[in-house]
Amino acid sequence: MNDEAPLTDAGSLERAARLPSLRDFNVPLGALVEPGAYDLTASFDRLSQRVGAAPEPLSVHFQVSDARSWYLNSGPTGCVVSDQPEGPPDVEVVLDSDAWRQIASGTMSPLEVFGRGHMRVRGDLAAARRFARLLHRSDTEDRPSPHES
Amino acid sequence: MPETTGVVRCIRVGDDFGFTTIAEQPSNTRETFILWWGGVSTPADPPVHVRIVQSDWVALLRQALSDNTDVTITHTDNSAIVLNVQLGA
Repeated sequence: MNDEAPLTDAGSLERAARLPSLRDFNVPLGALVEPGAYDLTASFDRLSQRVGAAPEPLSVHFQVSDARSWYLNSGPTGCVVSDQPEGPPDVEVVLDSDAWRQIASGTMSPLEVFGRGHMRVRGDLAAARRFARLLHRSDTEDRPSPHES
Repeated sequence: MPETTGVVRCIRVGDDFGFTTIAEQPSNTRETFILWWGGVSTPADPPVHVRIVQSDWVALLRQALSDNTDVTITHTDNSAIVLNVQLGA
C-alpha cells in the first residue's frame, strides 16, 4: 500500500469525517516510530505511553495479521501493553503490519487506512472513540506550550 | 473470502458514501462496513451498473433491518469494504 496514489477525492474523506462517529479517527496519530522503522513492539509500547491513564477501563486488541497481537489495557493507573488478553476487548483492530506502519508513522489517519480497505474495526465504536480521544489528549500534552522556548 | 453474518444495526447513506453496521451473531460484536465511499474506498464516479448494485445492497439491508433477518457480508482480509451482500442464511 506504500505505492498507492494520492486520494482522487480528498474532499470525500473530509466530508465523511464530519460525521461525529468518525471525526475522532481522522487525525493522524503523530509519529510513534520513525519513518521506515520496523519495530512493531516498540510502536505499541509508544502507543501505550501516549494513551496513558483512562478514567474508565478500556481494552483494545490490535491484531496485526502478518505478525501477532498486542493488547492495550488502559485504566485509572495507566496503560499496559501485553501479548495476552486480560478479557474480552472493547475494540478489536484488524490490519496488517504495512497498514499499521502507515498509522504509526503518522503518514495516514486511521480513518484513511480504514477507508482504503486496509483495516477492520470490530466492537464498541464508542470505546474506539474514547481511545482516539485519549491519543488526541496526549498529542496536545506533547506539544510545547506557547510560553515554552 | 471472509464472511460476516449478523443482524443489521444501521444503514447510513451520505453524499458520496454508504456504511452499514452489522452485529455479528452469535457474538453480537458490531462492525461497520463500507458499501461505497467515492474517491476513498471506491471510484468517485462508478459506472451505472455499479450504482445499481449498490442500490440493491441498500434495499437488501433495509429489508433485513426491518425484518430482523440475518445478512452475510463478504469482504477481503483486513478490509471493511463490502464485496457482496446476501439476505438470509
